[in-house]
Amino acid sequence: MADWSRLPYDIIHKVSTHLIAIEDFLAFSAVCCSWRSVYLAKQWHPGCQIPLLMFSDYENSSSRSFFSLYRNKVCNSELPEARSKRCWGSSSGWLVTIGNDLKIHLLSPFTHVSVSLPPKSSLRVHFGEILDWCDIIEKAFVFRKPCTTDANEDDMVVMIIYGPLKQLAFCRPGYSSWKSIKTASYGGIIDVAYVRDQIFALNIMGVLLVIDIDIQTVNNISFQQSAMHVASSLPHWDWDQLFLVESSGNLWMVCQDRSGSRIESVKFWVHSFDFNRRRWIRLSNLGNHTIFVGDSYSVSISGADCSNCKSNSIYFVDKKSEQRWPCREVHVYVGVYNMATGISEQLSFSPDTPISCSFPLWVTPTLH
Amino acid sequence: MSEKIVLTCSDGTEFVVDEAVALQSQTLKHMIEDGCADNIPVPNVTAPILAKVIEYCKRHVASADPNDADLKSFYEDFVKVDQPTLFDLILAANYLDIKNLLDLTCQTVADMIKGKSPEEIRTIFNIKNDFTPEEEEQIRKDNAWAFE
Repeated sequence: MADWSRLPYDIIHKVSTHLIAIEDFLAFSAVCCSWRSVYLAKQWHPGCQIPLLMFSDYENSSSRSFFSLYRNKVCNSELPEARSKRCWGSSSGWLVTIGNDLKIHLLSPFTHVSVSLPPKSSLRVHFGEILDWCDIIEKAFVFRKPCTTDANEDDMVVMIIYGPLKQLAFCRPGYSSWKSIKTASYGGIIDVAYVRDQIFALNIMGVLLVIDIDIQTVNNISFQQSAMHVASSLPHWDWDQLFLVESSGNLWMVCQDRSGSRIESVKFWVHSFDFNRRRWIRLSNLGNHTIFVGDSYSVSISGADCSNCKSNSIYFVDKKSEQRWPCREVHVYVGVYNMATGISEQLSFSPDTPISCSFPLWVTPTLH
Repeated sequence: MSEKIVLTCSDGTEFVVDEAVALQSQTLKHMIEDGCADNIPVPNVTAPILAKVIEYCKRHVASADPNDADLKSFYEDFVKVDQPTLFDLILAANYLDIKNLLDLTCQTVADMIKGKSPEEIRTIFNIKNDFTPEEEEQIRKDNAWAFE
């Protein structure tokens, strides 16, 4: 009689190397003691993961709902650390959170590890009085540069776009205050991406900047052709709908056209930045990549083609918000745009219609 | 002319194979190189399993081109076996150190696991849940989001 729980460790480990999605590995690791040994020994290394969609929190609830595209299911997880907080996701799996006490944290939603970041008071926000606590930070990013010798010494940089003037500031865990980056002469910043060890920012004039945080320099690298020039030739373009994405070492700019009110009319254009010629080149095909864009961060993953997650497609979260004092009602929908056919469709599952300042965001699942 | 190797399985049945076929197994390769080429005992493997392993190795000697469509359909059919056979094939591939066969059989097991909950996996493989209540609670707290 075959006793599958009595397989030697090497074989159990080998089977685990054929599992790709974190969710499959975690189910495998919950079968019996011997099958859990790979998880406990931290010997399984996730590749590119399909992100989950984390919903806003409900009032009076410390748990958050997550939608898994891979399993086409909504699941819940206790996340009291994110209760009543506005969150931003990142491809490293960390969330940046801000609460109404103006305290800012890094939070790992699946391992519940929380790291303090400098408080908002260390940020000088011009005209900050006109903003609610949840609007001070427009976007937050976590960039992680792996350390080849010791994973605990990875260089982690948290960068934020803040204030009504959409300025940039950054910090590292352990800093006592945020450090601002002088981009004032370039105007407000729309989005930031980390590509090939460099930080790129797109400003409201469509200029692409490369930012060196350690020597505090900001340089314009797209003087020959601004992104606005590219984007303004597209119908109905506006700021909210430009995203910078890192994709397998390339810098992509995704433009969303929200011209119609129906989700089926949403269209996307993707351009890749040619570093040699300093120009944006239109892409008609994403190859085996899938892009996820939303309020928080944008990510591109490769090789994820499966029944529930298509390659050469863009998954997007869009929202119609109606501001009614004191709450903001947000109606959210999730759609997918097929680059080959040029058609969008809505994903069918039942999202909530929550009342909160926290929009749904893509979260990359992590293990430890 | 190719050499012949005799393999004796657990119940004493003898299998005669070409040397090239036997060399697919790193374990047998070392034994052959060490000079015991006359009659190699394979006591951990039963006759029907050894027959299947030999079938795999013969096909592999004929052609190992991964783009070969025939080879792909051979692999698909090869692993359409009952679970006890799959289990024994894995152990045999491991003992005989036949990398491609071990990869193929482990991939098959992984494919049976994908998309399933722990309870469903236990049912498929007839595995008993041997976690303590405390361990179960910890798993539920840490990982249940992934499969509930």
